[in-house]
Amino acid sequence: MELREELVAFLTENQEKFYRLAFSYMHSKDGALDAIQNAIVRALQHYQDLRNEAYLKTWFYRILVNECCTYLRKSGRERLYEPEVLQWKQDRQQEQQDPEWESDLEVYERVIELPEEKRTVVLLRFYEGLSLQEISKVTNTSLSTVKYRLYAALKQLKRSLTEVSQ
Amino acid sequence: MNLEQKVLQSQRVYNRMEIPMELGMMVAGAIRSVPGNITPLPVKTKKTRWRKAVAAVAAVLLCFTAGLNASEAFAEAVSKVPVLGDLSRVLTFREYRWKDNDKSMHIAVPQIQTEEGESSALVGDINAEIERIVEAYKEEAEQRIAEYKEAFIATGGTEEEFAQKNIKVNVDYSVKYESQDCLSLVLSADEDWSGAYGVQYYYNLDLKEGRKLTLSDLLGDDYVQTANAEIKRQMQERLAADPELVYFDGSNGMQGFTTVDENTNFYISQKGNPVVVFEKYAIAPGAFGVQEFEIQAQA
Repeated sequence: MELREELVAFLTENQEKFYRLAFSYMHSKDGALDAIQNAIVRALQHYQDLRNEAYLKTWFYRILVNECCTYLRKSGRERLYEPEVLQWKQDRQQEQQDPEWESDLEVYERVIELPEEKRTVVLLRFYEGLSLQEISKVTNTSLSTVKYRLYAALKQLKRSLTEVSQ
Repeated sequence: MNLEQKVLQSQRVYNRMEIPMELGMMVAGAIRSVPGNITPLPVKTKKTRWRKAVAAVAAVLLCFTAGLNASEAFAEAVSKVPVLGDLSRVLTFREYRWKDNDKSMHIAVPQIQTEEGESSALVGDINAEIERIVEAYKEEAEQRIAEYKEAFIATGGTEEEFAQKNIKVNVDYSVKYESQDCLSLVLSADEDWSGAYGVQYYYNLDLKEGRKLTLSDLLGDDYVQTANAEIKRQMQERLAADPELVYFDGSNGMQGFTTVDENTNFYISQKGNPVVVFEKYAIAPGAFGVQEFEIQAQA
């Protein structure tokens, strides 16, 4: 298969994953959609730079994560997108009584409030199931940096979750 | 439970995230906005597919086909001039339109007429079934839109903003093929705000004998092999002609086309050929819409 076809297939098939990831940075539907759109256009314009198609996944995640983080860094205090309430929270609760749902949601909310570097490691490791090796490719950092950020992220999560429960 | 396990478990919140309807369209549009340097799509194809994707947003198809017993008999029947658009035996039994603050609805309920000498039992059942399906669809659509509105208002939307969405519900039908003894009818229903509520029913009937037609009536005993080979051939043809098209192939856990069977949906084209229909998402990503394959009927 031609590289472009492969890329298009990858983008089409994994769009829901991209949305979940982008939303976890942008905290809004419109923001997430815009980030994905920009990332896709960028990827299609530059896929010739991708030497080895085995790295398609980490290469695109890097573009998407950069897109989101660039926005977060630029926007600083002024947000272009209104953050949205986590609506699936209510939907799910109506569906069935689930005593652990609330605490899982709490953890997710804390995760998406982490500073971007730590957040990236946690999102990719625990939610997207990437290996630490792959994460180091996405973030263009060394493996030991990834490990350190993961450690620091968990430490911060622990702190923020304990504060809440008290 | 330690912290890592907790974080891992919270993945289910992440995975249950509500995916907006417009994502698929946006992705397809973004892909299309950057032309590939290999075999650019002809403009016409692009437009067609885009429209198709839009139309597929919530298409519900019901198909009725009246036909024959044996394939020889069918071949004989299809050689007769179709009376399409002439004196159809499918009538609009009821039609209504109304509009309130939240939506506008158009509903047409078709019913099939039987002629003298024809068995009316099956047609009677099917007419009743159509009524039930249309009625249920109407009620469910109203309920879904009311729930959507509730959620919309609860998350800060206003009545005016909701009214501006101008949501439409449409239930309608079209006769695909009709000859003396043979009839193919498609009933379609959609809600234009969401692609998630499509329901499809396909009926293939033999009016004279009062029974449903099957793919084997049209393609012979080897219909499975015949249809599978032809569908696969056409899939390859379409993939070759359109670099953006994707069919699921089992990777990413998405099982694609495997085989037709006695439950595979189809209607009959004006040429008298069966047209096998795969709904959105059945064999290809949703952005590529409904996939149809016309297969030459057995002579």
